[in-house]
Amino acid sequence: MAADTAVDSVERLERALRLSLDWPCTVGFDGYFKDVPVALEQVLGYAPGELHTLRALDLVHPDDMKASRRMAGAVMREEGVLSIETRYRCKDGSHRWLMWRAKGDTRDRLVYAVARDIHERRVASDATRHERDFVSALLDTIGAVVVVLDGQGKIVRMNRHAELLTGWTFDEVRDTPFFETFLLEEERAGVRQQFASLRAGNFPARFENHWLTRSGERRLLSWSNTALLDDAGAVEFVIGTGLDVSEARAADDALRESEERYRQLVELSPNAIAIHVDGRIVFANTAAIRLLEADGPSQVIGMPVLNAVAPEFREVVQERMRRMIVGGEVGPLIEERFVTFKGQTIDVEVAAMPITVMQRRGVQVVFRDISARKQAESDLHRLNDELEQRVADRTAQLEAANRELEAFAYSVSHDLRAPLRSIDGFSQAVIEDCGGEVSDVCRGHLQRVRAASQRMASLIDALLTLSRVTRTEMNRDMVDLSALVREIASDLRRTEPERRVTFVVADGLRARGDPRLLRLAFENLLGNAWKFTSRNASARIEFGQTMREGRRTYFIRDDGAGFDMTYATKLFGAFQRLHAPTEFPGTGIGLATVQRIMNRHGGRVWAQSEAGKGATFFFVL
Amino acid sequence: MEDKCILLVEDNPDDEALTIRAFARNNVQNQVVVTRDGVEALDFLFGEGKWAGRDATKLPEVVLLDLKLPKIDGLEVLRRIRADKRTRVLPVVVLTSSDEERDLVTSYSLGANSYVRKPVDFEEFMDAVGRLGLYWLVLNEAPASTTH
Repeated sequence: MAADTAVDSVERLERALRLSLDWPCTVGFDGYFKDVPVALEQVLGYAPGELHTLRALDLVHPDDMKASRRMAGAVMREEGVLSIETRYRCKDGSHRWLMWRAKGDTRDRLVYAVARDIHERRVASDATRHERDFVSALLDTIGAVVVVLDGQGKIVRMNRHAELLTGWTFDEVRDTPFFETFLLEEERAGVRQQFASLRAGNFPARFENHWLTRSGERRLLSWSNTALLDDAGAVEFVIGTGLDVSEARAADDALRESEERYRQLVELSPNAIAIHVDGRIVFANTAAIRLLEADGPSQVIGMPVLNAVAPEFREVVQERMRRMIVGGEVGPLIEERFVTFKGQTIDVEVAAMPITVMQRRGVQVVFRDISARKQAESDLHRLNDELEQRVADRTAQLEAANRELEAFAYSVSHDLRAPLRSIDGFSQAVIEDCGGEVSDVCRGHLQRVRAASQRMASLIDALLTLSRVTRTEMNRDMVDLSALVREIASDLRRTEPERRVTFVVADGLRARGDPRLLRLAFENLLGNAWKFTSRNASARIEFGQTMREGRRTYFIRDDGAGFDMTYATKLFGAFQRLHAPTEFPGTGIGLATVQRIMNRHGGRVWAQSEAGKGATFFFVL
Repeated sequence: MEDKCILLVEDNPDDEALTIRAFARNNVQNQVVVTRDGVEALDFLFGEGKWAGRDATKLPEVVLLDLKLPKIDGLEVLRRIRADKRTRVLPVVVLTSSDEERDLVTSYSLGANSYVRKPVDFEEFMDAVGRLGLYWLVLNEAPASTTH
């Protein structure tokens, strides 16, 4: 048979080997290829015989060099048949994956090796590995819990997020029964049912349940589950992808509760609340329906909002609405007038704010019936006007009375004095003109007539002074009371220089008041003290300040005749006297004048005394 | 130079008598012309009405003017005296019972030369009139424009 062919056996084998993906080679211990099939040279792109000029390790990829050298060493030490996968450099500089199986022979000083082309497989498996790494990374990066269970419900895979959520590492829970590890006892039965349903082929499936974390916390997970089938169509794995919805659900619940609260608040609010969109009412609460006197919500919903506004306010309201819807401004509280369904006009107070309703700009309006308040306000205005009118009337009356009083005082001053002057003057004329014809007794009578008329004149003067205290206008100023007292004291001294009276005047006492009225009051008080000490061999009159009932109180004290406190109330009345004119002269009007002056200053005056032990007059300004 | 008269404007006859008595007691020799109301006083001064024909250029030495007068009151008389250039500088002494401050203030603001309150006490009254006479009739130099 060999003779039939044109090629010999070696040549034939050579040709067959060309089809092989395994190429036997020999490499000398010097590292150089000894026998290399042309097929290998062709695969790597080298010319026939070119590899003989190269050392086997020269073409190894640098990354594989270390392992290749180690193997080469082991092979040459005859450590058995060894293999390695390396990238081998082609002629064009690219690399090709080859698997080498080799055995060294120290006697032949040769390495017998077979190179196998594993390039396609390696490239494919690299892609697979990349894909696996990619999927694994993907699993770990997604913000969802991914857990893979086998048919018995044991955990075969769990992603990073699941680890973070549960606090368990995958290694800790690998192959443990999922139901016991992660579920709440009361939810286990339900989840088992889901699991069974998945196994029965009902997937994908969605449901929610709680997971228990390592620290005992409950997390609510929303699941989307599916199953992986084996070649026979049986469920091999169940893959659960869960989202932690604990916070979202809590937020949802809070929102729902808040909405419910808002709804109740709005519905039960005593204030009328309505919402309008595009100028039409889309919501009105009970109070609003009642205020608008509608039969029910259906009558109000859909109604143009301006229908409820009194015509004279429509322009204002329209402008407000425009500003709120376009400008997003909150409408400040204003007073408007509404017209109810029964045609009644009511005063309302309205606050409004923009609101988004069904993705559209609307206005929420809160309003309140203020008719009663408006009524009260107008009543108050009317009452005020009436009161003002009454005050004006009274003032006019008072002014008239004052004018009358003034006219009266004027005529008293003028007309009452004239006859007195005649009485006095002609009594004197009689005395003068009749000379010796008038007896001493008659002369005495005439003197009494004159004295009486003069006394009456001084009474008139005192009365006029008293009325002037009430009539004159107050001009308040700071008055140096101490200086005033000293001035009056020296005036008094001049009238009776022979008297021995010591004035003790506290320094620096000042008060706000009408200087002229205060002078008049002090003249009266000091004049009294001067008068009622006139029987003393020597007297002491003191002016000072003290505190009484928390108020600054001035006093004028003398050590004169004093008076019986039984009559103290009579002291300040006009024409009230506690002493006979023969004892101490006086009109009986001085203290009445003092009291009026104190009253006009918003103060008061009172006295303390004991007969024979002097008197003290206190006053507050 | 012949003594000029004194014009006493006074509606109360008692006061008139007492005033004249006081002048006499104080040796005032001038003739005292008495008018009983404001209208008559002005008529005298300007030679009108009841006093028509009187030589109005002969002005009194001094006018003693009561404030409370029938028809035209003293303040109005004073205002008219001061408003007329013939009598603008004529000495006018307000002699009144009133001691109301507004009377005093108004009198001075209208141009009264002096303000004397009639005291009830006749002695004081006499003193006051005496001082008046002394001042206005003896001491006071009338402004040049009215002397001739």
